[in-house]
Amino acid sequence: MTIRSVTVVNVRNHERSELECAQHVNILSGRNGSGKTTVLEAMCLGALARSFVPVNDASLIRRGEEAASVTVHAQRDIDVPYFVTVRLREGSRKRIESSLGSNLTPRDIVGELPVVTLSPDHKSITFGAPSERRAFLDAVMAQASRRTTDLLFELRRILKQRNAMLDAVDVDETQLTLWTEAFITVSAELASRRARFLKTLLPLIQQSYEQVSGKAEEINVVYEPDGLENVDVATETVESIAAALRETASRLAFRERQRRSTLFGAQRDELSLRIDGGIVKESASQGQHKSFLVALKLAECTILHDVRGERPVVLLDDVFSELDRSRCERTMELVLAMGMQCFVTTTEGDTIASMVPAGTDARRIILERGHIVDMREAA
Amino acid sequence: MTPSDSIETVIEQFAALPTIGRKTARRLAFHLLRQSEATVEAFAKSLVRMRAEVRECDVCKTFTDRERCGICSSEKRDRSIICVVEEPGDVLAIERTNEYRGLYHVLHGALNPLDGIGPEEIRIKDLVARLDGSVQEIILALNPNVEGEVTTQYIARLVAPLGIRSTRIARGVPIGADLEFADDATLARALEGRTTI
Ligand SMILES: [Zn+2]
Repeated sequence: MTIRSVTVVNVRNHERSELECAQHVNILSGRNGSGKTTVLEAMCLGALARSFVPVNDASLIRRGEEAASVTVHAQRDIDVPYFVTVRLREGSRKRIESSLGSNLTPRDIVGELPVVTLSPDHKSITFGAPSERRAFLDAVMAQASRRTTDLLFELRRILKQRNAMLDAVDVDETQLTLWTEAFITVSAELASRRARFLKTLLPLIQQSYEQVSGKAEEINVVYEPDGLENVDVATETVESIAAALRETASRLAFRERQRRSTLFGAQRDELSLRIDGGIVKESASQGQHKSFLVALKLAECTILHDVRGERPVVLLDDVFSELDRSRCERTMELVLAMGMQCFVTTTEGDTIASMVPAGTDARRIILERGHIVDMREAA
Repeated sequence: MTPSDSIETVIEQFAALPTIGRKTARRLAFHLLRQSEATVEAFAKSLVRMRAEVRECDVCKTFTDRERCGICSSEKRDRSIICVVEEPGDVLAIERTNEYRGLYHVLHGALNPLDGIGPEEIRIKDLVARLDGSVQEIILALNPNVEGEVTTQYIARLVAPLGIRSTRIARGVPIGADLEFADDATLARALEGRTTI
């Protein structure tokens, strides 16, 4: 996918900004508060119907305005145009229109314009809680298949309902059994899908790590599904995974009633990142953390390209806060070698521009207080 | 400051309705202002009358003006089948197909512990009370979401000991849609629910 243009209306401090994009590298620079990250958020909104920053829709709308919108015009790899418009209005649902039709839901467009984002928030993937790594995997899977999006939605919904059941004053046993069964069914399918997906993703992560770090360290990502310690989820059938979860459920039934809450399931899975057998979160150096993060993102690029048959667009937000000069240069090299378009925000536009190889279609976009003040070819 | 409090009140009332935003509410209010007094009065009266006179059918619990709705009192309907739905609007949807000749039962909701809706809060008991010897099959046609699914299972378990056949509507690929454009969830379910030909 190649983004041709982006129109941002009333998003954060942008009143109306129109960006014409270069085929390969787009460097958005400006001071803090100039609105450069907002342009990436806008693209993300067009791709996933949400920003890569966890934020509610209302706070994306420019102060004093009722509504905001983003329109992205792009070109698919097979040379077919694609467009998407997402409109936000305070207190109402997002309105989404695209080449696929009007009145769409986020579920309809996720994956159509595949994007891979690296932002300062993402360091929590290697440093943070299990939920951060799970969210990473789920988000990649969601762009790859709609079924994952549905399963995640159902899991959250059933979990809430089941917790409400467990929290009730007198529990209706028949009904609780049914919510438990529904919960197990969804958890089992999700565990199976996560395990199988990771199996495909892992070699790509290992390869990317070596490319980024230049080191032959042994990289591993181990999926640890909750309540399924003795089950090989990648090879077992969903039915036998569900059977194992049923055992876990009955083992925990008493404690769940005491705690009035669900104590097992796919919302507690862990993805353990390892370097040379050691757990990254506990023992990796700063440099290893950075290389690992970039490796995960590059693997995400490759797998999205493989499953969707479409090169994702890469959004690098404030790269120098996460990457040193050499990792940044190598990342950009790899992204360009894969033929993907990338957008970079930085306060150091000159430094990034100097990294762009000759013969690349690159553009520099300078922003000030929510306005694009200059757009020129980066030689 | 608003030029008219009574206009503002009407706008508020419309805006409180589902799917109607403030802009549409304003348009509706000004549209009504341009109508004759008689037209507006007839409109208002029809609302009041609807609220006062519409009640639940004694048998199937759908909305009706009488003790027993037209479907329940019709001689032509097949009394051995009951189609269970969540809302009165679902009855209209199925009736429009002209394919179904049995009776209905409206639950007025689905099991939803988060909202405090249990079996007592929807018309499940009334359904069970209808299952005398004459009913041979119930068709569960609830919404295809997690609440509808659990409610379907709940009712199926409840009627199983009574020796009544319970079926559910197929969740398949919509007619007129190309197979390749059906989303994977729909397609997965359609495959799961495949039938022998
Ligand atoms: Zn009736």
